[in-house]
Amino acid sequence: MSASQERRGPRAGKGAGPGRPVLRPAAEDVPVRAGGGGGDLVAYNVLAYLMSGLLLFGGSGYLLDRWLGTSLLTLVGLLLGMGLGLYLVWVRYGGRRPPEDGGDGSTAGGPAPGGGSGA
Amino acid sequence: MSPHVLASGYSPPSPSSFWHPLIGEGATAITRPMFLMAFSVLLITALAFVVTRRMSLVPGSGQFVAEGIYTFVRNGVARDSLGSKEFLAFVPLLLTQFLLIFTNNLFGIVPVIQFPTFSRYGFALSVTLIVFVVYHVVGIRRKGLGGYFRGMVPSGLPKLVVPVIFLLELLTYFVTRPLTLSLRLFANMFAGHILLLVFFLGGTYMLVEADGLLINVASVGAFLMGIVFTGFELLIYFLQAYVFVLLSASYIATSIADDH
Repeated sequence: MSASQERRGPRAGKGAGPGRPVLRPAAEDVPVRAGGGGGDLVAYNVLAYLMSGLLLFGGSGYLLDRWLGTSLLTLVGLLLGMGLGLYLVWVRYGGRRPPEDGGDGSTAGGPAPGGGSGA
Repeated sequence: MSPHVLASGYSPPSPSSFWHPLIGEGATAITRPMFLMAFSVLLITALAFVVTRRMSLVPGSGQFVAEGIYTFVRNGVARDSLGSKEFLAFVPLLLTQFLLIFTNNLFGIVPVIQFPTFSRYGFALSVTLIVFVVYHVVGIRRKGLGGYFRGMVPSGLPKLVVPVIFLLELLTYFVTRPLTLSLRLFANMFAGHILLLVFFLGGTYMLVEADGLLINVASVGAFLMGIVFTGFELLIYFLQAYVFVLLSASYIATSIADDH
C-alpha cells in the first residue's frame, strides 16, 4: 500500500504547487501496464488457487470414499489437489516468463520489478 | 477470575450480538444494518455533492480529501491493476465500492452507530456478487463465451493436465474467488467488532457488576486494550476496503487480459 502511494506520489497532482491546475488529467501520458497492483495480490490469488485444489480434489475424494466405502481417497485427493494447486501457482506466478514480457519489462515495470523498487 | 463471577450474569459477545431487528422478526425483519447501509448511501451522496459543488483550482480541505480518495482509487488501484488503456471505465465502480465499504466499516467505531455493516455476511456477499457479475460479463464480452473459458487455462501446458487445470480454474473463477472475497471482508468486520465488544462489555462488567476491588481496578486494562484496538480497527477498516477493490480490479484485469 505504501509502495503504491509512493509510486503515484510525484504525479498525483497534489504536489504541483499552488499555481498549477490541480484537476489536470493525472498522468494520462504515462503508460501503465496492467497487473501492477502490488505483491499482496499474488498472495491472495495463490490462496484462492490452493483452496480450489483442496476443495475440488479433496471433495471428490471424500465423495468417492462415501460411495465406495473406502477411507483413503480423501487423503489422496487432498494431496493431489494440493499438488495441482501448487503446480498452477508455479505456472502462473513462477519464473517462467514469455520472452516478449521480459523484453519491455524494464521500461513498463511488470509486477516483479515494480514491487521490488517499492519495497 | 473465579467461576462464580462468570456465572453471575455476564454474557460474552456472541453471533447474537450482531442481530438487531428493528421492524418485524425472523427472516423478513428490517434490521439496523439495513438502515445503516441506506444511511451510508445518503451520506456518501450528500458528501460527494457538497465537496464537488464548488470545485476550485486551489482546493479547500473537503475538495482536497475528496481528490485524494479519488486519486488513490483511480491511480493506485484501478490504473495499476488494469493498465492505462482500460482502467477508466472501471473507476466509477471501484470508487463507489471503496467509498461504500470504507464508510460502512467506519460505522464500527462511530459513536452511537458502532456497528460495521459488513459484519453481516449478506452485505459482503451482495457487493461481491456485483464484482462477480462484472468480471464474468466483461470477460465474455471481450473474448466471447468460448474464448473466455479457453482463456482461463494458461497457455503452453502439457495436454494431459489441461482438463484438470481447467476444472481448477473454473472452481477458482466461480466459487473460490467470490467466496474468499466476501468472507475476507465479512470475517474481518465480524472478528474486529467481537474484539471491541469483548474489551468494552467485559471491562464494563468488571467495573460495574463484578464484586472485588481487584477486578474493578483491572477493568482499566480492558478499557485501555479496547482503545488500542479501536485504533487498530481503524487501520483494518481502511485496509479491507482497499484490499476488496484491489482484488476486484485484479479479477477484472485477468478477465480482460489478452494473454494466457
